[in-house]
Amino acid sequence: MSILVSTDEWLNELRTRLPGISGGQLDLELKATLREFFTESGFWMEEPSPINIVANKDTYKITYPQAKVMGVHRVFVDNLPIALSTTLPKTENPGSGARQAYMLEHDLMQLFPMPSKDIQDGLKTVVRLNPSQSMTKVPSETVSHFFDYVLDGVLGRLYSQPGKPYTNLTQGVYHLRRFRNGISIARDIGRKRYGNATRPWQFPQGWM
Amino acid sequence: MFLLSDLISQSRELLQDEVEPYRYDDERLYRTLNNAFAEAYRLRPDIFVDLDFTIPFVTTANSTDTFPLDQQFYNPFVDYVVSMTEFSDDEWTVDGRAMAFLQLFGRRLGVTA
Repeated sequence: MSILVSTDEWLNELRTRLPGISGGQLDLELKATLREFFTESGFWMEEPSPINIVANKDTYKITYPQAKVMGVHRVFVDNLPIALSTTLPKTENPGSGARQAYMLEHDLMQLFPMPSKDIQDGLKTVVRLNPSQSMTKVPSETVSHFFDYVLDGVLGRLYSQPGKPYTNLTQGVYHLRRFRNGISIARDIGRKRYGNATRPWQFPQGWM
Repeated sequence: MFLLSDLISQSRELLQDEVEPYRYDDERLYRTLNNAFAEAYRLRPDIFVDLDFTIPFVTTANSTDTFPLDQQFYNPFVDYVVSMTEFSDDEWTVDGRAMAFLQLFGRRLGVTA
């Protein structure tokens, strides 16, 4: 679980660069920028608390406190990885346990075949998250690694707005370009999880 | 923190109407202040975010209330009250002075009124 830190550091620096902005507007734009950053980069990944698998129940809601689950990255049943299918798998007779998962919605998972026995803490996932609208904290890596890129995102959005005291279209384009670059870097770091290696090859699961 | 009564008092200073009986009564100045809120909402809706985008409506009974917007936007509202009040009274004022305050209102909000 990531350490969460306050977003106040951004607000303080942004206020010095945006004369005439209201506190409420600044807060909204920072949240919108962080939402775009996490949605497009998929950088924020966490492992929610394990879920008990119940016999003859195949759908499970994936939640994470104070954040929105945007999608599931990996699934483990009884500590073994299972495949995430992009198409609805064929219904099979319950066998030795679930071997595939299919996302009915971004946070609602269906296991295939239907689990036939209870497993305490049997379902573990790695999920992509977004801060909820009321959340005022973000993972500490966002500040330590992407502080300036998020700053660019907020400045780019605000400078691009028409008819405001801080409107500056040229600067808006410049900062948004830097922000897009930051999203690409975050996406790459997120995939490699801070390492330099390419993604490890994994034998295809779920087709046996 | 600025109070609404501060805003009315400061407007009276600029209107040179500080001695009772007033030329412009409080009810009239508060009505003009309500117009200022509506005009500011049209020009800068973003400054009303903290009020959930509702336009304040104030009367003399609210005189001890805090100015409802971000304090940095206090001065433009003084400008507006002075401007519109002076526009209404062509016996005692020059339109140029009223227009100057109206332009100041827009500039201080960061837009051209």
